[in-house]
Amino acid sequence: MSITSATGEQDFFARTATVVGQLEGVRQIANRITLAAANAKAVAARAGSRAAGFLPITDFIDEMGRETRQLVARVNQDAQRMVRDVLAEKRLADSLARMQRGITRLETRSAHLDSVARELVADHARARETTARQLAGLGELLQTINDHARAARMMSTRARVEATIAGDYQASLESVADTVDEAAERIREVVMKCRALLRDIN
Amino acid sequence: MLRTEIFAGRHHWFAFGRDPDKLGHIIDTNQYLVRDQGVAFLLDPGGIETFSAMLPAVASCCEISEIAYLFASHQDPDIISSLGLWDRTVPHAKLYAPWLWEGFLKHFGCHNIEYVGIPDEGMTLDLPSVRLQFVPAHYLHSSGNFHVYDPIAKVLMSGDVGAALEPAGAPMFVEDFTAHVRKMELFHRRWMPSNRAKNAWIARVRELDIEIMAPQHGRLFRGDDVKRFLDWFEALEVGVTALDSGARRAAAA
Repeated sequence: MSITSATGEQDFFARTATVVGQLEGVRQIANRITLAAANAKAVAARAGSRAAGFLPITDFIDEMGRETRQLVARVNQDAQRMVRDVLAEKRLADSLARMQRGITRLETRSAHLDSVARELVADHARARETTARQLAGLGELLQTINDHARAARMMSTRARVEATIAGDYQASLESVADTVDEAAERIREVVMKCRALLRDIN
Repeated sequence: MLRTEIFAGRHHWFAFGRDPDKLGHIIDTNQYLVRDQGVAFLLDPGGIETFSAMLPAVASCCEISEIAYLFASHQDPDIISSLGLWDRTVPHAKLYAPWLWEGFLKHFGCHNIEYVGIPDEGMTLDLPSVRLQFVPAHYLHSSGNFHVYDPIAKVLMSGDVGAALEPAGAPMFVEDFTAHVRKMELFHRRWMPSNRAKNAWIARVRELDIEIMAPQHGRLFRGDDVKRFLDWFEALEVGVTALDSGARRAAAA
């Protein structure tokens, strides 16, 4: 799909809006992970030495939730900037088309207008490069969020193992591990969907 | 785009309009250019849809790079939504437009062109051989509105005052004033909001020596038709008062 075609543009804005909307969901999931980590810390503190192995895991999960929220905020910011830049690119493309249409109707060539058109072509090419770079950047950020989610799932597995030696607190800690696992899986699904949307734009 | 030279002396006035390639659903507009010894002044350059046709039309009258000044009588899109394109084409130029609309007009794109806000009382612009006057025409129809008067060519570029809704291909000049009135009446009754503003403008304009009155839509007036127009406009009830009268008539019927 080309984002310079009219249909492509409409689709681009719809897709970008969908990505931003989906990521808002990720931010909420990340909040849940942070809350789960806080609960786990409280449970682990009460469990004392039986849950000693659980504490660094909760620290990690807490950190991951915080980083995910920051990444989502950055993706949203970058997506908004990209929409603005794509609009600017569209305006440049439109200006160039109108300028070229006018130039083709000239009775005699105008060096001044040729120069204006050349500048427009160069500015438009630069704008397109910027958009392509922004798309790639968004893809990388989404990959990072995905990596975090994968690490969280691994941590939830480890947390389950640690929970088995926590005695009376096993059920509570397993519940925390489940919450983190489900949240990470949900993030992974959303990120996959967002990446697919952006890949189609590319 | 039809090009008509409406004054030829040491400096020249050109009118552009009746674009045969114009999209059917947009109103036809008149654009004007004053060329004076290598300096060009573009008045109400038109909407974004007009730009491609205006470019070669203007280039047939002057070097595009000679355009040093632009003027926007008010903020409407058919007047100046091409600003972003002219901003790329003549980045060195200055735009003279009502101070009131600066923050609004810049939405059309004005990164290079210098915006010169015309104060409410008007101002002048010196071209090599003529001092042009920006004549206040506030509330006719826009709340910040100016016309341009050339005392040597005796041309008054009158924006929407004198505008008529014409079919495609209409002549550039009024030939039969009486027949022309019906093409102007609805436009003036509805678009011009204030009898007080109208009468103040008429008093101001009657002081000027005008040979050609050049509106932004429809035909231009010349000679005695200018006075005929002012008399007709003076007698016409416009704006809110006209709407009230219409409502009274409808209620009485």
